[in-house]
Amino acid sequence: MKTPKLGRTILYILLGLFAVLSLLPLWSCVVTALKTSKEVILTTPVTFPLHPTLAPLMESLGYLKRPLTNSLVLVGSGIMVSCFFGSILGYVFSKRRFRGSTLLLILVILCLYIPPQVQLIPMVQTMSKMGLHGNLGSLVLLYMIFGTPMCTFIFKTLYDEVPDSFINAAKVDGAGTWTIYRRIMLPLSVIPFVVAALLQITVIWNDYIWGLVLTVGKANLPVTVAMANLRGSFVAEWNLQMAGALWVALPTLVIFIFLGKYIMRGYAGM
Amino acid sequence: MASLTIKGLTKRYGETAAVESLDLEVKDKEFVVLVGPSGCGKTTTLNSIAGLVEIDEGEIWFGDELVTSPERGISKIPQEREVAMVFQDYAIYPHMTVFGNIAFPLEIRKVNKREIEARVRKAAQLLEIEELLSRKPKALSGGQRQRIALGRAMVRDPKIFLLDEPLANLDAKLRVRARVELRKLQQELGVTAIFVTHDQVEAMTIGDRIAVMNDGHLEQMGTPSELYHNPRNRFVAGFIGSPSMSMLEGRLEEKNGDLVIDLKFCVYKLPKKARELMKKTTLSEVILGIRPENIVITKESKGRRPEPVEGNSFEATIVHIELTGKESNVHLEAGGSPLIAIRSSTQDLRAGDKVWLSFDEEKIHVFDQKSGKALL
Repeated sequence: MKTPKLGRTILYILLGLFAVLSLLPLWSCVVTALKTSKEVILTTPVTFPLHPTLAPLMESLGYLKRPLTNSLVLVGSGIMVSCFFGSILGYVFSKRRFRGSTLLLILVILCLYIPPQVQLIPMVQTMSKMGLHGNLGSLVLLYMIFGTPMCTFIFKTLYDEVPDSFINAAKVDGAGTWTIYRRIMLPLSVIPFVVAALLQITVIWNDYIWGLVLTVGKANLPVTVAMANLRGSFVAEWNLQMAGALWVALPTLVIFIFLGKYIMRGYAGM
Repeated sequence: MASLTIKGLTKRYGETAAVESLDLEVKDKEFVVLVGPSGCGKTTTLNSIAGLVEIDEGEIWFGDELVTSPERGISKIPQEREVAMVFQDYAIYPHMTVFGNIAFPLEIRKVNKREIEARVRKAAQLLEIEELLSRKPKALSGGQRQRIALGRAMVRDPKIFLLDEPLANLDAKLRVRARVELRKLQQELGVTAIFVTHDQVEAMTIGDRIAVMNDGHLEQMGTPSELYHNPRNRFVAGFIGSPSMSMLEGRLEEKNGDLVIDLKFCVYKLPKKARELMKKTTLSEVILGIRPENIVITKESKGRRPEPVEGNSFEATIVHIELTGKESNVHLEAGGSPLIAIRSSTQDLRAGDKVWLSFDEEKIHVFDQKSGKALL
């Protein structure tokens, strides 16, 4: 019995070490955000601030107010539209199969694997032609469309768990396709909606590249791009940057802490 | 009015036919059971009646209304057929209350609220689930769920009730009670019912008539007693009855003017009556079938052989004795063939004993080995 105990101790020491290592950036971010510019230069990034101040947090919030609102709009509209379409498509792919529906589903899922890098230029061109390039509308549209395949996949896999007899019973009882969706599937969709919404929130909130190439001007920037702009032109204002990063990370952090199990379900394809 | 006629129903999945040219006639207010081993096509047949699967060939009539006919391009969707269905898993919607579940078909048909309330209460009263109406189905037992499913089927006053193994998920004791109640309910409501099961005991006890299916074909249709006493072929004979009929392979021969079956370990002389009935049959490989209750076991008494009953008795060894309660199943072996007999008292018998067997002549069955058809 001695060896397993020893193994366990070593394991815990290693795990503790990894925990410290992975939490270090967050710690550094928090303490730096609470320091004055002078203290940032004079101390190492891990020491606790001698004179904690909320000024950097306030200042960065002032700057990020508009981008934060922008990102909220993007997340809100993206979730609503892609979850709506994802749920309907998931229902069709799971319970109303037709000739060629499997092929169609495979095509939809393949969309998830097209790297954004190859889509950058065509997308910018398309948005320009549509007259949307540069403003927030382009991102709104983009996330709505890009979120749908993922949502479809999540809804499809979770709807597969609903017994077919529910659908058949409703059919025999006189319900049509739309009634079955509305009265049976939709009320049973709380978990897929939460899972899909959470995944979309993290994807849209953390996205940087699309905001960078599709939007112009502070009024249109999503929060990730605006945060990158916080670094000063001549001197790096670390405390401001870290404070900004905290504001950006806060929503996703809260979501992961409280609703992380649902996100795990989404990744596991449950 | 609500009779059901199926003519030449064929349903294929790819190359394999789940059901092949099935003819079935169900009279008004009749309780018919479709029984057969799993994969025999009984559920496909039921789903075809409900309109849940599209058939490849044949016609389905509800009374004088043609509901399915691919040849004529008629295929009414399930919503338009006046059938109600109870599924094996009951398909109780977890997000609705019991009331909501039972009221669901009425709400879809836009029946007014007061009427819904009245009809759901009436059904609940009949099924004795009134006190459950406001509850969510999550914590309910199998028996209660089954009643809810029945209630949902009842409220619509359908022409035909389709029941897909509705008792399979109940425990054995409850199943026996539910069987009686279901039968009573069907008679009270005066509906036509088609009940699918793989359990032949259930089929025998619940049905007015039974349709035995195998491999997509209808093997035989008849009353429980017809199927038990006059099986048309080897499959029906083996499927109906528990413990099942013992089957002994042999050769039909003529010896000294008598018709006999050479079983290798015994030459079994068929009764005179059989001669008349089997005049036209050619001598061939046959199977001698005998139900367990028609096997008579005689104990060999100390070295002295008991008088053979008209020469038609033979020696067998007891392999195992199963006590089922009132009776015992005696598993025997004679010349390498297994046999099962039922006996009410087995105090004088032990496993390993040598005994003498004879059959009740009136009750023997003879089947052709090749075609499986009953010759006697």
